[in-house]
This record gives sequence, C-alpha cells and structure tokens, in this order.
Amino acid sequence: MSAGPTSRLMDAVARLVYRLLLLRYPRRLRRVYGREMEDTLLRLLDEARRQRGLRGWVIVWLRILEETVRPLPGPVQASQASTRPARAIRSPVSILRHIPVDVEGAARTLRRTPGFTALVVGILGVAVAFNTSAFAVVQAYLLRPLPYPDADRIVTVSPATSAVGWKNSEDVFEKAVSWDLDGFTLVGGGPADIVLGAWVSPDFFDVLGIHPILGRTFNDDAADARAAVISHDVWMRRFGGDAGVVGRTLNLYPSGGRAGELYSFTVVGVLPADFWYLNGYTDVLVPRVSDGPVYMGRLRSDVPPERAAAILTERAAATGTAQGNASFRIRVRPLRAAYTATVRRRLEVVQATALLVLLVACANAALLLLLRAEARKRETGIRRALGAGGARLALQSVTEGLLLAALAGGLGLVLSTGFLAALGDLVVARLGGSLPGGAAALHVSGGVILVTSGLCALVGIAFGSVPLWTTLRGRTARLLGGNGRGGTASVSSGRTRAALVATEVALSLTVLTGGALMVRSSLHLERTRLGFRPEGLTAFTVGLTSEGSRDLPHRIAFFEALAREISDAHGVTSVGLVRGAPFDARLVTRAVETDDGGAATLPEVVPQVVSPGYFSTLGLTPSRGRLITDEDDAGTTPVAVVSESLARLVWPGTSPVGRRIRFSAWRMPEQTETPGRWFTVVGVVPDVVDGVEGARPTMYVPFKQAPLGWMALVTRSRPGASVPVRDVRAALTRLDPDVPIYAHRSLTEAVSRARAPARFFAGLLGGFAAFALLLAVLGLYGVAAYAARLRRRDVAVRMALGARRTAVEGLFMRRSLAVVAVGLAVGAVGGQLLGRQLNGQLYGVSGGDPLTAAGVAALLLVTAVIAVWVPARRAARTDPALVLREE
Amino acid sequence: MTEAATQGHALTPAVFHVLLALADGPLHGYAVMKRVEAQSGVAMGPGTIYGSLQRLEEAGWVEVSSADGDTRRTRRFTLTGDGREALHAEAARMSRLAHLVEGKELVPGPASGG
Repeated sequence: MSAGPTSRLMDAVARLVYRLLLLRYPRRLRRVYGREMEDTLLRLLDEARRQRGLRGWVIVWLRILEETVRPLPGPVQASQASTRPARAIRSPVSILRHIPVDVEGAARTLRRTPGFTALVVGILGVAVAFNTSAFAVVQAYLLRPLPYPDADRIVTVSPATSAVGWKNSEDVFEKAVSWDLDGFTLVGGGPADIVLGAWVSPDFFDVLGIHPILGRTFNDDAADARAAVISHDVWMRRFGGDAGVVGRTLNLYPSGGRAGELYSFTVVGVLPADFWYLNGYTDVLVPRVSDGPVYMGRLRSDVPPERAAAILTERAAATGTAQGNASFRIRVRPLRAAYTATVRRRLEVVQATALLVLLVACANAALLLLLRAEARKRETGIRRALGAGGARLALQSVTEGLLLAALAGGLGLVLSTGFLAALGDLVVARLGGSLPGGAAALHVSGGVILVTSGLCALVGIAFGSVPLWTTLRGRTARLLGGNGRGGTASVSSGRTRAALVATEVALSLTVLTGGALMVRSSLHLERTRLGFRPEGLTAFTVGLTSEGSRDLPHRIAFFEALAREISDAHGVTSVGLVRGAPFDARLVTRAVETDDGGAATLPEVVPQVVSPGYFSTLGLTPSRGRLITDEDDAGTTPVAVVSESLARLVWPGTSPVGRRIRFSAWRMPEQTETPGRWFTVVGVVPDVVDGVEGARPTMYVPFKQAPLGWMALVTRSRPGASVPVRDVRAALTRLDPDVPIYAHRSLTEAVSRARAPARFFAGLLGGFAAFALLLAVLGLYGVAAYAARLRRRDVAVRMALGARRTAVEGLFMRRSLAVVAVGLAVGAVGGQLLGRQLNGQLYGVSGGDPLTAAGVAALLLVTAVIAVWVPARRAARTDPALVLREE
Repeated sequence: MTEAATQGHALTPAVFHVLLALADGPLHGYAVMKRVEAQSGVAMGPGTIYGSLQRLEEAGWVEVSSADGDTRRTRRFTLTGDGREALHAEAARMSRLAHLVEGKELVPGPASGG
C-alpha cells in the first residue's frame, strides 16, 4: 500500500475533526482564519509525525484538545478583562492538574443522584457488555492469528483437483499437503473404537509447524509407510498415556475405499494436547504415499495467492478438469478465510447490531444527562456568574461523562466475563465451525479490554459533551433568567433532544427489524412440518469395516441380522435401515437423468438407500404406487421410490410410476462405472425434511440392491421406553466384535440441535432488540415528561382559558410524534439495510420482508404513542389553579 | 499611539510573545507559531495564535496583508507602529519588574543556586 492515499485520508479526517473542534471558537475567527488554522494544524501534524513518529502526532492532538477546552484568547491587555485573572501560558499538562478535582467533583455529583447514576451506568454497562462479548467472539474467530507459525502463508485450495498434486506443485508451494480423510476403527487392546483420522502427505506437520510431544512425525522415505502419529486424546484413551507408546502397534480398519482390510501401524509420535486443525480429522494420522490433490499448503514467498490461483487454474484447465466450463476457477484462500467462511457473516451481524444497541444506549444516556443539565440550568448559570470558566464547566461535564462511561465499562467487562464463562460453550456450539482452543479461547483478553476502554472513552466524551453544547451556548444571563421554564433558552437544547430521540427511534427500529427477522426465521423452523414424527426415533450409525465387509451379500446379511435382533428389543416398535437419517447426516445431492426427457432442468437429488422397514419406522405411506419390499433384491429389476417434490420437479403433471431415473455421476456400491443402472420408479412418498434448509428431492433405492458398508439403524421406541443402546451394542458384539457404534442420536435431539443456531441467534438479536426498544421508550417518555413539566404553566393558562383536555394532549403528542415519525422513516431504511445483510441467515422469511418491517414499525409506534401519551395526559389533567398558584 | 499602550497594563503572555515574534519582520501564522515556540519554549496551538492575532489586528497593533492577491490563504502579519510601541512598553515594564524582583533577592543567584 502506498503512503499517498493513506496520508491523504488521514489529512481529510484530521481536517474534519479539527473543523468540529473549531466550532468552539467565535464565528468571527473561524470565518477569517478557519482554513488557515486547519492548514496550520496539518503542517504541525505532518511535521510531528516525520520528526517523532506516532508519539509526536498524538502529542499534537493532545495539545490541540487541551487548547480547545481552554479559555479563548481574550483582549490584548490582561487588565481589560474586568474580572478574570491574567492567564498564564500553560503547558499541555497544566489542565490535567484539575482532573483529580474534577473527577472528585463528578464523583460527588454522581453520588448525590444514585438513582440517575445507576440508571445510566446500567444502560451503558449492558450495552458495553453486548459489545465486549461480541468483540471477544469476533477476536477469537476472526482476528486472533491461527496457532501456526507464519499462518498468513498457509492457504487452502478449492476445488482440489488431481491436476494439482502435492508432488508436482513446487512452483507454487513451498510445501503442499494432500490428505484422504478417513474414519478408522481401532481394534485390539480393548473394545473397537471409531476415530476420525486421515492419510496425510508428510509435509502436513511442517506446514502447520507441529512438533510432536513424543517421538517424531513422518520421514519422507517409503519405509515409513506404516508409521502413525496419534492425537493426545487417543494416546490417553487407547494407551493410557503410556510414555513408551512410541514403537507400539496400532491395528485399524479404514473405511471408504480401503475398507475391509486390517492395517497395522507403528506409533511414531504423539501430537500436543492443544493441537488443532479445522477439519477435526486428526486423531490418527498415517502417511499418504501416493500423489493426490493439494488441499492445503504453504505458499512460496514469491508467489502471492492471486498468482497461485491463476497458475493452478491454468494447470487444471490444461488437463481438462474444467470440462469446458469457462468460468472454472481454482480459489486459493488463506486458511483463516476457509475456516471462518461460515461464521464470518453471523459474527459481523451480531457485532454490528451490538454497536447499534450501544449507540442507542449512548443517545439515551446523553438524553438523560441533557435532561438533568436542563434541570440544573440555574446551578450552571450561578456557577458561571461566580466565575467558573466555560472550559472548566466543559471539562467537568466531559469528566462526568467519562466517569459514567468508565463505570459502565467496568460493569460491561464484569458482565461479559460472566457471560463468556457461562455461555462460551454454547456460543462455540451454536456458531458452528471449530475454534482453536475451543470455548476457553473466548475470554476477555487484553485486546478486548483495550477496545472496550477505547469504546468507553469515545462513549463518555460523546455523551458528556452533549449537555455542554447546549448549556455552554446559552448565555449566563439567559440561563439564570430563563427560570427553567422554557422559552428561547431551551430552543437549542430542544433541538438536541429531538435529534437524540429521533436517533434512538431510528436505531431501535433498525435493531428491532433485525431481531424480528431472526425470531420469525426461528419460528418458521420450529413450525416446519417435518413429514415424520421424530419422537422416539434413534439413529445408530454403524460401519462395517472388517474383513469381508467388501462382500456385498455379507453386508446384506449383517445389517439384516442386526435389524432383526433389535426389532425384538424391549420397547422397540419398529426398525429400519437408511443411508443417512434425517437431521442426523446431511447427504450430498447428486445429479440425475431420465431416459424419457422429462423436465428440461433436472434437480439435484439426495441419494437415499433404505430397507423396507425404514418407511414404516418413519411413518411414511405411499401417496402413489408402492413402497420398497423385501422382494426388491439383487435378482430383480432395480426400483426406486421418489419423494413428492422429486416427482413434481422431474415429471410435472404426470405420474412417475414406471418411469426410469438414474444418477449421472454417482456410483452405487456394487457398480464399477458411472452413470450406473437405471431405476424404475414404483412409488411416491411424501417429502421428509432432513435439515434446516427444508425438504430436498429424494430418491430411495432398496438396500438389497445397493448394499452399503455404512448404514444408520433407525429405531422407534414406545413412548417412555429407553433407547436400546445396550441391545445394539450386544447385538454388534455377537455379530462382529470389531464393529463399534459410530454414533447414536435421538432424532428429536438432532432436530433440536439443527434448529438451535437459529434459535440462539433469534434469542440474541431478539434480546438486543428488546433492550433497544426499552431504551427508546425510556428516552421518549423522559423527554415527553420533561416537556410536559416545562410547559405546565403554559398548559394551565390554556386550560384556565377553556382549552379542551384532548386539545392539550394532542398538542403534546403531535410534537413528540413528529420526531418519532422522522426516526421511524430513517429506521425503516436502516432495517432494510440490516435485513439485506441477514438474507443468507434466514429461513422462510426474506430480509426485506415488508410484513416484518411494518410490524416492528407499528410496534414501535404504539409503544411510542403510549410513552408520549402518559405524560401528556398527566399534564392535561393537572388542576390549572394549582399550577398557577405554584410560583 | 493607542491609549492602551501608554497605560502600562500588562499584556497577556500570548499576545506578548506574538508581538515579540513579529518584531523582526512580517511572518505567516505558522511561522509565528514556530517562532513563539522557539522563543518561549511553550507550544501554542493554532487556536491561541490566530485568536491572538485577530485580537491584535482589531487593536490595530498588527496589520494583515495577503501576498500576490491570494486572499484566502497564508496571510502575512506585520507589526504596526502601535504594536511596536506596545511591545517596547511591555518590555520596559517587564524589565522594571525584573529589577524589582532582583532587588528583593527572590531570584536564586549563583551563590544559592548550587
């Protein structure tokens, strides 16, 4: 980046800031010398930066700030100023001498009004806590460097392609890594156990800069092909933390392409306990010897990511990977970008919303301070008349603001520390995506404290200077003479009040829109009809990995025997086999084709493999044709049952029964080539929702015609009956002791867990929204009540002269509601903008949903009317005689 | 000669230093600021410098001229006769004051300085 644009931008910002500060000087001076003063400051700043760096630059700004709060240059001769003592030229620190006094004074003021102080500190503290917590999460996920040396140069490659192999990429990568993710079944030395691992190319450890706590990583030679590096967890669980683990044997069955063969590895190293890699497949790492697509690597220092992407794209295109697709691109992204892709938008939305809430809280605190300043106008007037300089009063007001902000910051830090400690696990779980160090990485760090302090300082100065603006501009005489009874003295503060209220309403509406959208989206999910009852359903994932698992009849026999045994278990009413149970496993959709043309564009379809019992276990009945039966096996015509949405999309308006369909690029287990066999559609079943995205077109083929080695056993238990985990385990031990249960999960829980992130964010943004609404109402009420008090003599006179109560109420409400209307108009635009940012996060409702926008606007309007009406009504009900006699 | 300059009232320090800075000849505002900083050892910001200059201009002690018809920017400030006189008067007053203080032996001399 060149220095030119940056310094020009900084100059522009400096000029703008100084122009605001110049407002404090008489217009006469500003008009004649304003420009020149700005130029002078820029020269000063430039000079200071060149001579003394950032420190010099900061000192100049401090000096300028100090100068602005100092009294203006008076007449040329000191004696001409009648009462003021001659002013000495003070060093920049001199004004700081007042600070202890001012802080003490401010503290005294705040102690005198504990209710007010508690209210302001509480409001700001909660808002600060929102921001601090959000920032702690943002920092952990998005800002903190990944736990690898020189992490910026570690990149991911997508899509990975065999055209870019780890053995032929020296021109782009210093070190490139390929892997083959695998689920390993560890056998021998205890019950069978499934762990996630990978076949990784040897440079995996070097790229991530990992040093094993025991032993070594892989050597580059072929003799090391049977070496294994295990995680700290496996070392503890499987080897009891034995220090002599290096050299011991690890027997395992891989899954996937290598399934069915027992592999023996020698443990050569143990990974550190805090080792983390984003995909989590790191419990057992074994060498990948053959070439394979690069997934991750460390870029050469002379190759920037863009060049790398261009080179790799070209190479892939040259080998025909692009398949004539002109827009084919290989993306080379920093590792961080790859792992934060899913959470980035969510975090940005949460942080932005938290900042909006803080702004609302600031506007609110400013309003409260302003109203108090109005009430104290006489006091201020007297103090000024007694010789308190404007600068001192200003400094005091800002000191008070800073003190309140500091208290709020402290409260915020305490609240967010508590919040992160209590809910850190939940946040990590709900955000999705893994976090290095887990929930413990979410804490109030030095950086968080620093940002919070900066934020509080800004907040304090911001709302501390609001009352200043209005009261300092009022002349001493007017402050005294105004008698706190309205009239010209409060015109400018009235405008400030209106602006603050409008701001509050606008920001609140924005936040409310975001909250309402998230809540609606979550409610949509909760109310979605799944197409099956998840209650009582449990899915057990079982993988057949031992010898013989490649034998298709063996697979059929094994799973059928398992299903038969479990159907007799206590409390189980129904049992089925499925490739992936809804909400438990998310299957990737595949392209299909038909032999009769059908629809012009065919949908991507979920390839499901089921036993006949699956439909009855889920409670699915055919809406057309028949279901899969026990007779549909290897010896009969391949058949399929399709979901209603698939039928609708592929054969609109006609019956699909008897039509033929096949996967164009997905192989069934027993097939050797793609596209594989045609399946004849024999029936249609209702759609089943299998994830938060809703139902997807699904094609069910019989397990006996496509016998897989990994299946989920789905059981339905009678209400109140326990989940048959023990029965499944016992059955597995009898059938094949080397087959563990990979996972078992109640589908009710799976559904709930899938919906949880939406629920969590709805709760979070909904909470923000409720808080913002509360603040807006509080602000409106406060201002309306103040206005009513201010004008009660006026009202009393009108009433005494025969004005109607409703007319008086109307008068008040018209004024306040005009301000509210402005706020609503601006807030509606803000809501649309925020909604657009939320679009990717919403289910069943769009970010620009007019109903939601109108709904929250109406809600805010109604609460605003009430907040304004209550004091207006009170004003109109007061006995005029009492008010008029008051003074 | 203005009335004020003859009355012997003390000048505000900012004003005095600005006048002193201009004693050697006309300067731009920025140069005034640098000169004041050099001679007094105290930095004054643009607000103080320009504020004082405007006051001095109003008092008729300083004249403003813009170079080559450039009216908006970089004006030069020149000491007027009145200004020069006021500066001299102030210097004389300060010198009297200094003698007065020395007479009271309040200023730490070489003997007590250590």
